[in-house]
Amino acid sequence: MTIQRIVSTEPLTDAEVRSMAPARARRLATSIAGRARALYELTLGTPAYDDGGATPLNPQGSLGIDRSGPPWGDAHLHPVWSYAATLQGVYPGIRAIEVDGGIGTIIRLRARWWCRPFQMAPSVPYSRAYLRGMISRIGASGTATVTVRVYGPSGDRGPSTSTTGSTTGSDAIGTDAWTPMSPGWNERIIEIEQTSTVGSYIGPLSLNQIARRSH
Amino acid sequence: MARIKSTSFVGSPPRDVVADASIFRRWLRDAVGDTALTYDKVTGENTTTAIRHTGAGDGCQLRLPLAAQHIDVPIILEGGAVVVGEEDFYVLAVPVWIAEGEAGPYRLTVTAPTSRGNTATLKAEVRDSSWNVSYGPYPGTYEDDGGTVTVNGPVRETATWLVTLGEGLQYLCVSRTCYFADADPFAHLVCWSLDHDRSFSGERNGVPQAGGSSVVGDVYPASSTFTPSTDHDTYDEEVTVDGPLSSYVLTRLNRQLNTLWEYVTGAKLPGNNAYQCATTWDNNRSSFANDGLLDFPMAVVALGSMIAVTGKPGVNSYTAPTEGLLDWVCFPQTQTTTNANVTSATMVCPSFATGTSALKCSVLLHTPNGAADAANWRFRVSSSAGTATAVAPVQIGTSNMHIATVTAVPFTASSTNTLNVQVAHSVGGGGAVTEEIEILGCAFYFEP
Repeated sequence: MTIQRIVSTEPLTDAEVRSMAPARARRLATSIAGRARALYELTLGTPAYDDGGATPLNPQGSLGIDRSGPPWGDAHLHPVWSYAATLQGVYPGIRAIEVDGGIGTIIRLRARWWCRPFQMAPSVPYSRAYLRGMISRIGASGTATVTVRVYGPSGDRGPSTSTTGSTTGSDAIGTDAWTPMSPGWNERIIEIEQTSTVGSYIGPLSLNQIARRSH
Repeated sequence: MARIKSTSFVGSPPRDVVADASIFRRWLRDAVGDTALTYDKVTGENTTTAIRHTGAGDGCQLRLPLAAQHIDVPIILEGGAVVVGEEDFYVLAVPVWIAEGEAGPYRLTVTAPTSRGNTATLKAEVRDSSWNVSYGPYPGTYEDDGGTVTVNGPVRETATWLVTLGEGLQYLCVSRTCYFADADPFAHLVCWSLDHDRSFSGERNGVPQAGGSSVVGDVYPASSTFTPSTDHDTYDEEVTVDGPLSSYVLTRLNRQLNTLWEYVTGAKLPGNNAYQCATTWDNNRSSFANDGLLDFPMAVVALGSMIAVTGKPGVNSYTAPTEGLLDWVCFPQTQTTTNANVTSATMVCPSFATGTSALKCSVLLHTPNGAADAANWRFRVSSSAGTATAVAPVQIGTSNMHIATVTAVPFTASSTNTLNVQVAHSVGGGGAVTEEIEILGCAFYFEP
C-alpha cells in the first residue's frame, strides 16, 4: 500500500467549523493540511515533499502558478506585438504609417507573434489581444479619422473588431479593437482605412494582454 | 503571543489525516504554520522576501515573450563613391534583457524574404555584456522554402534559431548580405520575434485540474479586504496540547486558506459562487506594501541597425546621407541639446509600483568613428507620466558599441503608455554632426 500525503483544493463549509460541530478528522485535515500543501506548491513552484509534487502542472508544463490567468494566478498586463514608430526626430528610423490617399485608402499590416501557453477558456486574460496606438493629423487643418480593424483568426475573410481614430492633432485611437489569441503562433491582419479627406499618420501600434482575471 | 509560522514546509503525517484518526495538535499547528509560511512568501508580509518567480523554490518562472516587432523596411544598399561593394550587414542588432532564472534556449525568428538563395542567408549571433560572441554566427533554419519560385530558386521567408541566452543584458545580432540597388523585390526586413523555447509546454503530470469541489453546503467566503496579520493569524496559545479544538481557530484558518486560495490562483474558491476579492482588494497585489516587484520584460525594439559585420557604418554621412542603407539606419542629424525622438512605443504596462519605478530602457548604439564619439550624447525616456533622467552611454567592452540604460522610467500602471525614447547632445555644437552615432535598438523591461 502506498501512503499518500494529503493534498486538497476543498474549503470547509460553514457547518464544519461552527462551535459544537462534530470534528471529522478526515474532513478537517484534508481541507486544512491538504490546502496548505497545495497552496505552498502553487506559490513556490516546487514540491512540498520529495515526491514530484501533488498539484497539476501549469500550461507551460511546470509546477506552480505562472501568472497566465486563473487558476494559474492572475495575469499581468503587457504587450505581445509592437510597431514602434515616430513622427519626427532622428534620421530616418521607423516612421509612422502614412494614410493619406483619400477616403477609402486602406493600409494593411501583418502582425505575427508568439503567445505564451495558457489554459484556453472563454474570456481568460490571454484569450484576447487588444490594439493600442496613436493617430496624428497630416496638415494644419481639419479632422483626420480612420477606422482600424483587427481580423482574426481566419485571415481577412473572417470576422474582425474595429475602432476609430479621430484627431485634430495627435491622439490615441480607440480601445475597442481586439483579436482572439491562442497559445503559440498567432498571425493577424490589421487594416487601417482612411475615412476623412484629411490624412493621418498611424503609429506607434501594439497588441496587448490587458486583463488580470477575465475579459 | 508567538505567531505560528513554519520555517520550512512541514505538512502532516499521512496517518494523521485518515478517517477516525485523532485530531492531533501537531498537524493542526503545522498546518497553521505552513499556511502562514505560504502567506508570507506570496505577499512579502512579516519581513519575508516575497517570491519573485525566478524558479528553484522562488515561484515558477513567468517566461514572458520578449519581442515581436513589425518593421517592414527595405534593406537596399545605395552605392557610390564611398560605398563600393555588397557585403554582410547586421540587419538586426538589439539589446536583450533576460529575467533572473530564465537563462536558456530561446526561439528567434526573423522574416527577411529573399530570392537570392544561400547568398543572402541570415546568420544569428549572441554577444555577451562585453561584446564577445557567445553564440554563432549560425545560419537559421527556414520555416518555408516553398512559395514563389524565382530564377534564383524559391523565396526564403522566415529563418529560425534556437539561441542560448544568459541572464541580464546581452546583445542579439542577425546579419545578411545587402546588395547595391537590390532588384530583389523581397529585399525587406519585415518582422522578428524572440520567445522562450517551449519544449515542455502542455505537459501533464496526471493530477487533476485544481478547482473541482465536492463540498456540500455553504462555504465561508474569502475576505474582500484582507489583512491577515490582524484578522487571521493564529498564535501558539490557540493551538495547545490537550487544548480544545477551537471553532475560532478552525474558522479563521479556513478563512485564511480561502482568501489565500483566491490570492494565489486568481480563481474563485471551489464551491463558492463568487470571486470575493473584486472590489477593495481586486487581487491587485499593490495592495500589499511589501509585495515583491518582478523581473518583467516588456518589449525589444529594433530601430535601424546596419553596421556592417566588418564595422563599416550604415551610411556615408550623418548629415545628408546619400550612400549606404538609407532606409534602415537611425541617427541624429543635428548635434544640438534639443531632444529628438528616436522612437515611440505604445504598450499596456502591468500594475507595478510607480512611485519607485523599476521600468528601464536600454538603448544600444554604435560609434563608427571611434568610441569617444558617444561621450556627449544623452538618452532619456518620456511618457505622459513624466520624464526619466537622461543618461550617457557606456562603452561595451572595448568595442565601438555602447549601451545607455535609462532607469526609473515614469509610467502609469495598468494603463496604456506611450514611451518616447529621446536623444540629445549635452554640449551641442551648432548643427552638423561631428560625433557620429548609429542607434540600433532598445529594450524595455522591469528590473527591481
